[in-house]
Amino acid sequence: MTESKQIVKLVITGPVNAGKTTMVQNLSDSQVAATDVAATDSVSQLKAMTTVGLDFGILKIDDTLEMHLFGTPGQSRFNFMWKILSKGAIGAIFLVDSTCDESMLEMKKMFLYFSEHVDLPVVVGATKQDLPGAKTPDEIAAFLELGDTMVIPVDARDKESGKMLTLTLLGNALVEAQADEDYDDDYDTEDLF
Amino acid sequence: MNSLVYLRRMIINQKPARLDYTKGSETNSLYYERAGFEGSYADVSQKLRDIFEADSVEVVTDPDFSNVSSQRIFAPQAIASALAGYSFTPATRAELLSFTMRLPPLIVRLYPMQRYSFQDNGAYMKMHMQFQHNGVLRMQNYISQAENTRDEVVRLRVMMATYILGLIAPLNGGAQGSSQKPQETAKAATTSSAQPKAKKTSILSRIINRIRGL
Ligand SMILES: Nc1nc2c(ncn2[C@@H]2O[C@H](COP(=O)(O)OP(=O)(O)O)[C@@H](O)[C@H]2O)c(=O)[nH]1
Ligand SMILES: [Mg+2]
Repeated sequence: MTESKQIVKLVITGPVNAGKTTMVQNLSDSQVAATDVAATDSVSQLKAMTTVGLDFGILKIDDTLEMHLFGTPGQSRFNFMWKILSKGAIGAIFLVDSTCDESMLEMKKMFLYFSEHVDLPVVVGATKQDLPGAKTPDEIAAFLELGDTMVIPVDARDKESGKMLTLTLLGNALVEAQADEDYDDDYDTEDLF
Repeated sequence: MNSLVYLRRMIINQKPARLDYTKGSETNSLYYERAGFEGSYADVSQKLRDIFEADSVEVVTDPDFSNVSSQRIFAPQAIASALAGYSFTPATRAELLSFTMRLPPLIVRLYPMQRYSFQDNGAYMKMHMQFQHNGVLRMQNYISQAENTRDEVVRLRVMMATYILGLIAPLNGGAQGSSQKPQETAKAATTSSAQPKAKKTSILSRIINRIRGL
């Protein structure tokens, strides 16, 4: 079973204190037996990275598919990690603390690097909308010069909220994947029509 | 998106039926008879919206109509009204996109939806033109050509309406699955990029299902 498992990655990144650790925990299976975890080439590389504060979680999708969630350290000096993380990744979620100017500035640097070096579906989650002084998603989008990238309010502590953000990213990823899919016309439509 | 499949079947079969659905903790039913849904305008629209987002749906043919209201809303009218101004949660959107992915190459039928105040009639007309121009409609393309989030919502609503009402149908009459296998194998061998990308959409759909159920 372990041998035939396919693994995809979901990267959750953004500045310190934005809610990455919380969100990775909320979206991961709480108990994964070590023996049940498929081996990836990147696991050993990532072991080294955990020393710099990487969050790692696993969400079992079904018997043959596993999603690995990576919460990456929130500083632009760790941008080099994208090279490893983006391999096999289905998308990236940037979290930013809506109340913190420093967080915005760091985020801007991180996102600039990302948009120039990484080609992955992406959404931005604006956390801490419930706190005083929070910038609105529109203000954040304008400040970060995000262009087409969606900014969505999210409370990283709330599982449902994290699910909605992730589903938005996955929806976008699906649209992109469909757009450049080569049709093989092998549709299983028996139950549709 | 099982509910779309059931609604379509109900409408296309043209037989009395009852659709039972559960959304959250609520269980309810919608009756269908003689080309229409039973109930008032507001009632039918709300029920249809709940059905779009239902957790489970079941259709009972040969239902008992004894205590059903006498009011009936013609199906195209009911669907148009349910979809008017309707927008989706990220979960429903993701599900609709997964559903879209499964649609084969399609034909699009023309139908006077404007008569039933279908708000997205303009988009439907354009979709039909696109079909006429290409001789086929790929719903996946149609949806991914959306210019912005709002436009995507409109296109998804057009997909829902045309699917449920039977205004789209497989180009190859539904028999394409097995008949094209040999051709497909040949194609897979020559275009190396086709296979992994096709798998990607299926992977994404599986993840969407899993996350919805978290
Ligand atoms: N009030 C509030 N607190 C939040 C929200 N999202 C995350 N937090 C809190 O912010 C703090 C930092 O979160 P953490 O996951 O450690 O951030 P990380 O540094 O990005 O990993 C934690 O105490 C979270 O509970 C939010 O939307 N509102
Ligand atoms: Mg952390």
